[in-house]
Amino acid sequence: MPTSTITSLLRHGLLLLTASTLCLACASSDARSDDGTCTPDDADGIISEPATLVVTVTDSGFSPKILTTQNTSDITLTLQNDGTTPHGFVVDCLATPNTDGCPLESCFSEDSRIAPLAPGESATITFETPLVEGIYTFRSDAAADTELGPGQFIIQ
Amino acid sequence: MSRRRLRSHACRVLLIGELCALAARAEPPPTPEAPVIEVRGLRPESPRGVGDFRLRRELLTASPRQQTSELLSAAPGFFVDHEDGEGFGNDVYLRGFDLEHGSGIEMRAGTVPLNIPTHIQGQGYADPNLIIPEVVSQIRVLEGPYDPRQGDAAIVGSAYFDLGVPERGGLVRGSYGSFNQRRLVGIYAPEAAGPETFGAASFRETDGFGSHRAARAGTFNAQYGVDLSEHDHLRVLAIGRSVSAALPGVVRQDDVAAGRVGFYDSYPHYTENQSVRADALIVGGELRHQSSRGDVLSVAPFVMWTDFRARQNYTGTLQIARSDPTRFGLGDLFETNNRELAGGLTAYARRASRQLGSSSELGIEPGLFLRVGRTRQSKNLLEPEDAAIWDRRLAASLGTLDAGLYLDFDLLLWKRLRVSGGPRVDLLSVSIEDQLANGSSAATQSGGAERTATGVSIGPRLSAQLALSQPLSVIASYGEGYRSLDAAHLEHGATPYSKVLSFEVGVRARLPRERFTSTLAVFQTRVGNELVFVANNGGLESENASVRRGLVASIVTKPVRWLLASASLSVNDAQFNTRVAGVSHHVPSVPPLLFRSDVSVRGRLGTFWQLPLHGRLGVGYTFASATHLSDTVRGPKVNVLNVGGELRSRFVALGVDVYNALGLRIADSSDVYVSNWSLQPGQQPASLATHSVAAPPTSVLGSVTVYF
Repeated sequence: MPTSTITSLLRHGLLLLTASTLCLACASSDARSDDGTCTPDDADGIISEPATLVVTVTDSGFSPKILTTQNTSDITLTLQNDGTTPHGFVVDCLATPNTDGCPLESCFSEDSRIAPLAPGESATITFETPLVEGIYTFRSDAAADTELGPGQFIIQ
Repeated sequence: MSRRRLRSHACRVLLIGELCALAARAEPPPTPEAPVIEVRGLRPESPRGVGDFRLRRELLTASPRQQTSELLSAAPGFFVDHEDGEGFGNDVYLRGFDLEHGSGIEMRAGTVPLNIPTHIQGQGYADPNLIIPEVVSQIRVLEGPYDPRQGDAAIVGSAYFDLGVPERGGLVRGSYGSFNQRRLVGIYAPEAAGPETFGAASFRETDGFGSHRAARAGTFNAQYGVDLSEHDHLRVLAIGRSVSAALPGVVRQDDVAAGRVGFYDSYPHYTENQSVRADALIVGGELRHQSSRGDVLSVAPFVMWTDFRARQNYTGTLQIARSDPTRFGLGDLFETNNRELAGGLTAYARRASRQLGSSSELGIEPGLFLRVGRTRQSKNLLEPEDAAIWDRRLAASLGTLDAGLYLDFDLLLWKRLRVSGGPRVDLLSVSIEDQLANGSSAATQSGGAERTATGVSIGPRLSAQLALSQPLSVIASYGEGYRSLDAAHLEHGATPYSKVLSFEVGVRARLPRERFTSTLAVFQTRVGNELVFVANNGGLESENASVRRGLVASIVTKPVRWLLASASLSVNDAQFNTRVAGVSHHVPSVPPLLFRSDVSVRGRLGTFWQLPLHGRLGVGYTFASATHLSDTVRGPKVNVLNVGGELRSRFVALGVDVYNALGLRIADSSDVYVSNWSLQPGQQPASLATHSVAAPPTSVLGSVTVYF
């Protein structure tokens, strides 16, 4: 086969391959569907892992100060008040700023709230964690607990 | 232009100075490492895909490569990071994959499969560093699952290490370098025996380049080959290795940037006892019968015992015990254990190619593969100070079976079109005894202490090569492979494997005597389940399907005997679907663009004490573009330059290798997740951050080798 023919074949082959690659790259750039619904990101791709949590609160703070669970997971949480004054449990909403028209904050359900417990009392609740991942803040909403240190509820 | 003038000109271009000038004055004889061993049993298969390479010793040593896994970087598209430590298999980058600890590449030492299908560090875990690099004579690399001989873990391809020592006699090599690193290697290859017979041992120890990085490893490899008769050949291989290393853990980039902790340092709290320990003992053999017509019957049994334990803390003190929720904040030190005893065999009967009419030839090879294993796995949380267990996450005994059959045919039509491949069928079965089922097991919240999972993987593999002319071929390949799934997490009745579908189209140009080989291929690979690192779970998690698309181009040229140069470029896009419907991500830690180049010159420099003096100088360069650590965070670009050289008279050689010669700060791994690492004890507030483990800074290693 003459050298010029080989060169020509090689050139055309390279062009074909390059074009094929570009097409493949185009196809891959729009992998996510956009049907108008808001689907929050999920960094670890894991959801729905049930967990049991036990939180103790004293007059100086919560223990543990960090709770970690997956999103959309069924949680059983027990709050034990070992302090001398009433303490409760509530998780603040998390700001989710966006320009897509999606909700601007993510909140735990009302089921996750424990009204202030008297000293020595405990309460157990079950709730589902929200879909949106992030580091939420939990605290006591008792009137006298404005200085009580909050904790972190990490949704992964 | 005369050959000599061409050589001189090339040398000036390459600016390699006096060494080239000396090389230009002398006719280059074969260097001691030039011979290629054709070990009996090495199968002369036809190429299966564009990325089917035989990496000969000269290419493997073209630039500094300290460990056996790093030798894979000689193959186009591959990049294997250099690590100072020991114990883990190196991370391997290829065709859009970041194969943690070799998982995803089928590897064999001789005929012995090295992958552990159900390893707790990743399915298909393999550490080729149990092979002493000096006894690797050749590596066959096959990128893609296009050969029916490829078994479990051949997600992105295979690497088959052929062992042998071309230079008979003995050698003792002592090395010393940065971070009090020392290595001693001894090899004995009896003159009377063939090149596949040798005994070798190595010992390596290092203080490490930062805190908590000391490591030590002892390895022996021995192989014996003997002709039992004119037609029968026996080869026996034994490998043993024991490794232990301290691990520093991660550092947060925000802490490094603020000067709170050094890049090569370790946090003062909750980082104690991070370590890895790995032991392995492998015995394999091959009995081959070759008829006078060239037909081959081979039976190759093997037994392997491996024991692995890693202790690593990624997140600080975020964990809460699942068995007792009142226990928390004791340190997220995950201990993972994997102990396996496995045995099996590979066998095939190859009929040599026969003429079919006047214009075609056909070769056929049916074969089988059997692997039976018994594995003990556990994952626990330990208290860092005394390694006491404070929560159990996994405790399981696994029984694994892989029984595979394949039929390979090799059809040559009109001397131009070669069609190779055939079907492969594997029966995979796993039995699980879950000691933590129905309770606190992270593996099985569905319950069931005893479960079984069985399935049959059927995968056609086909490759067609059309020779357009003497140097140029067009190749198209398609293959369906499989990989075992994380057995401990399987539910009863589940399918125990994940499918891989891959195809590629490309061209290969090749001049005679390997003076020039160039390849270009576009590919797509779809894996049924992607493995992704999840820090909070202390390891890899199985996600949904992933797709890689890209291009790999390579050139290997040896225009003159003393010069070898290679370059490769890999461009790819890698995405995976999470378990959450509609959510997909870039596969983390995969460089979208990867460039590698090696240049080496070698030849006779003159005489020294009336003995010929040979020299070798090699440079290896790698560029990796910024990887996706998450969809919004990208890691830094990576530039790595390694330089090495050696002078050798007949009996003595002096060598110097410099790794990361540019002195750049490089992360061995980087991940984005939430942690609460702090310089203060106790449970500190958590935040999202990029976490890194440092790769070695500039490392210099000098060596003295005595041949006898």
